[in-house]
Amino acid sequence: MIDVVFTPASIEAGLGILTDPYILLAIVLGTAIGVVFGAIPGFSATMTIVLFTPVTIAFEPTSALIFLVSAYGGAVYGGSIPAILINTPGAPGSVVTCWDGYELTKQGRAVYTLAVSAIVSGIAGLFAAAVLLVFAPPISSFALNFGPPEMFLLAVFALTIIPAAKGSSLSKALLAGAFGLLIGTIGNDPQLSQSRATFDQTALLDGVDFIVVLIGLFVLTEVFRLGYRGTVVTEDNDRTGGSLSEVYNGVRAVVSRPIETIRGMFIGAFVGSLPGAGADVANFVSYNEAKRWASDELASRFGNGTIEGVIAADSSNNATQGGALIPTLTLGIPGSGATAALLGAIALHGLNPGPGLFDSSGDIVYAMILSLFIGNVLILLYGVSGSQYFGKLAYIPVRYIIPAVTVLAIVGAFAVRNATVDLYIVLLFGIVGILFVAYDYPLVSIVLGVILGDIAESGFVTGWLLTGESATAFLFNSPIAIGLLVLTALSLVITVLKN
Amino acid sequence: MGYETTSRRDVLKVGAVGAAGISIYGGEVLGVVDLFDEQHITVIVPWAQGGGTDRAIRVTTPTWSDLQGIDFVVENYPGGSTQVGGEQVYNAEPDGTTIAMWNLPQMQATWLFQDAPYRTEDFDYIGTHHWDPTMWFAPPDRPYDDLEEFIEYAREEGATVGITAAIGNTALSALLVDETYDLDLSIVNMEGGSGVRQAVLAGDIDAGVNQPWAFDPDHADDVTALGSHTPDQQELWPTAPAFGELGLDEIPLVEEGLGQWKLIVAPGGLRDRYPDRFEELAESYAAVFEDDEFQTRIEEQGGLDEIADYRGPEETEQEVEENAQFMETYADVIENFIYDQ
Repeated sequence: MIDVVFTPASIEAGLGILTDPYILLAIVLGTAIGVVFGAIPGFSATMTIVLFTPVTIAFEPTSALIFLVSAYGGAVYGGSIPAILINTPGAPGSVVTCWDGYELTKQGRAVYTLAVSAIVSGIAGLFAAAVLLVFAPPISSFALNFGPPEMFLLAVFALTIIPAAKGSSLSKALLAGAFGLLIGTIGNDPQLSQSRATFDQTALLDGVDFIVVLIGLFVLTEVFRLGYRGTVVTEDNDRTGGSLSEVYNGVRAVVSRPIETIRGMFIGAFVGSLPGAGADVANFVSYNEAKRWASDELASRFGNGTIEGVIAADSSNNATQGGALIPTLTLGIPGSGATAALLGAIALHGLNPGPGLFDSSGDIVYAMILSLFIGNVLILLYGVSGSQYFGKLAYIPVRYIIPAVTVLAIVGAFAVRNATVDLYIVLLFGIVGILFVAYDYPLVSIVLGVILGDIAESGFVTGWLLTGESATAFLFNSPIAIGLLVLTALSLVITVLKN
Repeated sequence: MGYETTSRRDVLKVGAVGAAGISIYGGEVLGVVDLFDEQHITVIVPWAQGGGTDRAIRVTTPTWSDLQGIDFVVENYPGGSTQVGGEQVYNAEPDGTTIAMWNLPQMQATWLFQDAPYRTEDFDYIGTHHWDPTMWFAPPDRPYDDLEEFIEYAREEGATVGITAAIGNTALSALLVDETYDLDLSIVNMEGGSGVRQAVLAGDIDAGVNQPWAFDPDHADDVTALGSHTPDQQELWPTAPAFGELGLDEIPLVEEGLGQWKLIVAPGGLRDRYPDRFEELAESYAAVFEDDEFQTRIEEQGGLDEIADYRGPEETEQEVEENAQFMETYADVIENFIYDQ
């Protein structure tokens, strides 16, 4: 079906393009810009691509697309930096990074954690690029088998992480998740386009954007908490003085945990390749699996500052870049929001994404894919060398952090879709976040409900109709559906037994 | 597409454009957009990035910008079956700095089947861009090669048909075929062109209704094109028979042709208040279609040049009114579908 063949000649053509110093400059700049924008709360990889697409108009197509792909990779990684330092995910794919990353920062291990994050991000990105280069055709054919019933079951499987949300009772985690699912129902229904709970706000016809919810719940709530607490981390815990040794410890931590990294990479590349699911879903699934496969002793430390949690999150979210590009480039079907934005940029530069792309512009496509290797090596270099300096940000007095983060968060929330109503939503969820924290309800369960609710609803309604409104036909639609059903059942049984 | 090396001059140019782009976007983000009112035109796209409308406008604005001598900034406002973006352009000042690329009959559907506050007369029309006919596709392993055979199959076995939206031309085509032959089809909204394409390629549905350009003619070998909702064969997908050629003339709107227009609209009042600006925009837009670079660019976009169809302001307005009339005529068909579901 997809006539894309990986050949030495195609590699040679792509490599030829990459020898141009200006192309290399585009990769260096794109990756750096991506890291910086990804690190700003609210500025996801999608928004980074949207923001810089007009800027690339004056570029010739190859350097433009390589610049944007590099920015995409950089932004996915960049989202983890504020997640680790100040408990505010820069992008939806870094929500889970907060759980253990921030706990480690509070213990004075910011440099160590940032180094681990950079290393696993770079390695995962390299892995995903290799997968894209070699296995794009079979994976894109396989991804097509994920129809609506399978997407629904995948979302349900990912929802089983809700009980695992750290530091809360099962009932509170489930209630918070249900609240998130309810928020996800706002807007036009996916099947008949009839509005629900929009309160005459046109912007709400498209629902509540989960990035806005994320900013309100995580960023504003953390800003309030920082103000109350007065510091991110006490000077007593400052271990940035020996930061080089902390970087070295980070390298050792990754080297000694290959299984955790590899598992996260596979999950990320796989989830990323599914149309409609990206880093925002992959990091939850990966974290859940890491916890499930851990020993009881290690599993009990998840959420309290264990490096395995950071590895699980960051290896999966960075591996989605290559995965998400597979259906985008081979079928013209975006694998994530960021790659949908990339489709627009590809068209702007005169290329036509889809099965013919590799025939008509194979040299450019392979140069894009190969540039991911360089970009991820740069992420490794930027991240590892920068972790010593980024780590010191956690010691900046909160009187500087609070206004800076608040302004960036508000700008980020507004920039999602230029809707004033989103500013009120951010404030509302900031207040909701404080109340939930005060009464020990996990914030992440709400976000999980909002992100997955949309996928689950679309998958259920469409799949239900496609399978003739039959429960058995729906649930046993394919071997993949049965497999997901079994995984979900196992996950629930284990959760119940553990609780 | 060949590869070209980048000169130092290009890099400087890129830097300058980049700085300008960041200024514009930064200004919008920080709410100081008024300062730039005379320096760029905002083009609203009521769909997400990467979709057919987004791609069509993004291949057009570079040339239009050169001819008009002003930057065009594309902003996406997806949601509400185009109502979110529609209200953005409806509420914008009619001063020529905000326009939109919209599509028919989706535009009319937002007030016929939703509660959109605007109507046809609330906008000024600058011109059409292209007309993408409604076309039916099927997975290649199905035992039918055209719509006539599909109808026979559906009558015996029942069939599932995927559409791109609940209230647009693809829904109307599916419902008209269903009603004309009393088929009891299971019509499912796949939430966009990508959804229909994926479902057809994966064999999840028995047929999918989309537009050929939106579906992407590069997939010609991967699917069976059952037919187009037109009287005659379409150049963009020549292997697809027209409903008219198959003798399926009893299906409404075959004679007229059912498809999707993409067009440029402006907030109503621009033509009256600033006739010079309106004329300038309309003239430069018309000139876009005469531009060789633009023609090459759209040719590279999966044969968009085959369906590009520029019509001036008056003809565009006439087309909008005709679309509004037939959508009103068949509104009950869609309303019944929504009600039944």
